[in-house]
Amino acid sequence: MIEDQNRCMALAEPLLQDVHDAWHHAFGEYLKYPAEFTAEHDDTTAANCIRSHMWKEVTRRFAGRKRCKLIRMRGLNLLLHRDELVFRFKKVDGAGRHRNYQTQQQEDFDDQLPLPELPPEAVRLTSGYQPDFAGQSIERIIVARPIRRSIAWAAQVNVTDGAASWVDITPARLPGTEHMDYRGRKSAPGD
Amino acid sequence: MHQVTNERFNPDMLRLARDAREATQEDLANWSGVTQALISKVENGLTQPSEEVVEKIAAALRFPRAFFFQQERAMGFPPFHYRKRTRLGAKALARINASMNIRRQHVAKLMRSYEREVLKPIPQYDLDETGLTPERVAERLRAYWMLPRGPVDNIVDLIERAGGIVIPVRFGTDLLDAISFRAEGLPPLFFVNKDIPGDRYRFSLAHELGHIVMHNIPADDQKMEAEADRFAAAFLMPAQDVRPYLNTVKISTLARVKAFWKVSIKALIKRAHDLKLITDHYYKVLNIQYNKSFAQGEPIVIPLEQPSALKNAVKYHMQNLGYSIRDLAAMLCLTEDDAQLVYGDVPRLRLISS
Repeated sequence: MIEDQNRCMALAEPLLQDVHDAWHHAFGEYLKYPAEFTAEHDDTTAANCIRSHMWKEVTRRFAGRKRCKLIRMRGLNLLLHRDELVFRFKKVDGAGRHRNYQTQQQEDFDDQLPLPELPPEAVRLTSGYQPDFAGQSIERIIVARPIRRSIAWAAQVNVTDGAASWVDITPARLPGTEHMDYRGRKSAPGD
Repeated sequence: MHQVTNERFNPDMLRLARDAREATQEDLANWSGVTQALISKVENGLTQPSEEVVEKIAAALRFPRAFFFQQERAMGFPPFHYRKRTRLGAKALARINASMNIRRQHVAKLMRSYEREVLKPIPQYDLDETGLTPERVAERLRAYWMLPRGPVDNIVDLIERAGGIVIPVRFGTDLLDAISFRAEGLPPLFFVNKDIPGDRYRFSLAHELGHIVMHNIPADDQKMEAEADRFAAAFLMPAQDVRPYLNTVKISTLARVKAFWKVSIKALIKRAHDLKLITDHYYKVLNIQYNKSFAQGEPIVIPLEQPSALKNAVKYHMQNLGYSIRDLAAMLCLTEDDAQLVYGDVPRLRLISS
């Protein structure tokens, strides 16, 4: 099952601007760290710090909001919306792919397999930021539907004049392979 | 009060003034109404100009009359950077040289009445005599100046505390970053291009410091340049201290390292390669990535470090010795406007009317 991008992004629409702004806030917070500390950070540490600020900001913006639920599940920090969408927050590449070592729980999340506290029908999405080459600013904010280490689709979120919009940035694939993890892995069960 | 020791017109000063304004003899003739033939003869010392001609030339070149009567000798370039200089146009080279000479004269005049206490002056090490490498010299200098481990916080301050004078100037080209030299009776002078990024500015000053410390006697230009570069890299990024920051050499991590060490990403990549922390192949890959990513310049702005020695000397003259801006301009043989422009924060005298 590949969830329809238009449907998912329409459902996500009320959250997009806040998520977009929260990422920029989190990144900005990291840039305030003294250079003597950030010089010792590798990319993973930097990403962890930013993600930590992101989660705090997500909590500030969404805790108590109607139809939103914040879930912490052994390292997975999730934002559930209307029992239909669930976001996790990651640094991603230009195609919306995340790159960490994956735990079983993360694989299950991406594969839409049952996880406690998560409604099975909620589509699992990655809300991510792509830093610039030098890691000094955000290149773009992306929402992606992960398939393990790859993606089914990706959308770039833009905010102009206080209104959020999105554009499809899913990399082109050969006809007939749209449902596949194009990095050569098997497609996820149920796809 | 100013340095006009006799009333003989000095052709060297005319050339300097003309070069400082990037004017050809023909330009000067057009601006001043004096014939080029006469200007040429005056410059070559074949004739002394009349008072009227001096006034016209002075007005055209915007220097006070006294400037042309200073009995100073113009200096050429120091024996470094020969290769870089050959790539510069003659006009740019002449202007830089003129600017360097004029500012040198200012330093000489300002330092006559202003004394600085220097506890640990810039030392000299002869590499051939001592058998030291540039890296070892850098290490010794850091130890001599008792620098803490890690990045050099402010290299301009270090140089000036050691008796040097740093003078940021507008070279009008990015082919030449800095020039330094020792001149008799003067502290070591470091002229640095103020239009370059702060990280390059620091590296250039460290490079010049290397010349001043190691190259008292000129040798092969290429060799001296390479030694000064090695000195600068080791002085700003000591191997033992910088190594932990170069464990993961990626452009994205180097930007953060740059912010702390205040050296360019390019310099960090080179240092990682020189310290054999990355392979030749990966060094090439990084350079390709670098060129692709930073064609418009590197991220992270390192602020230009501001010197204070010359400013303090000017301030001393004005506050302690009672110089007015007019006195100062007269001493330095500048117009009042130029004195204001060159020594930016020199307070201007204002007329107050009730």
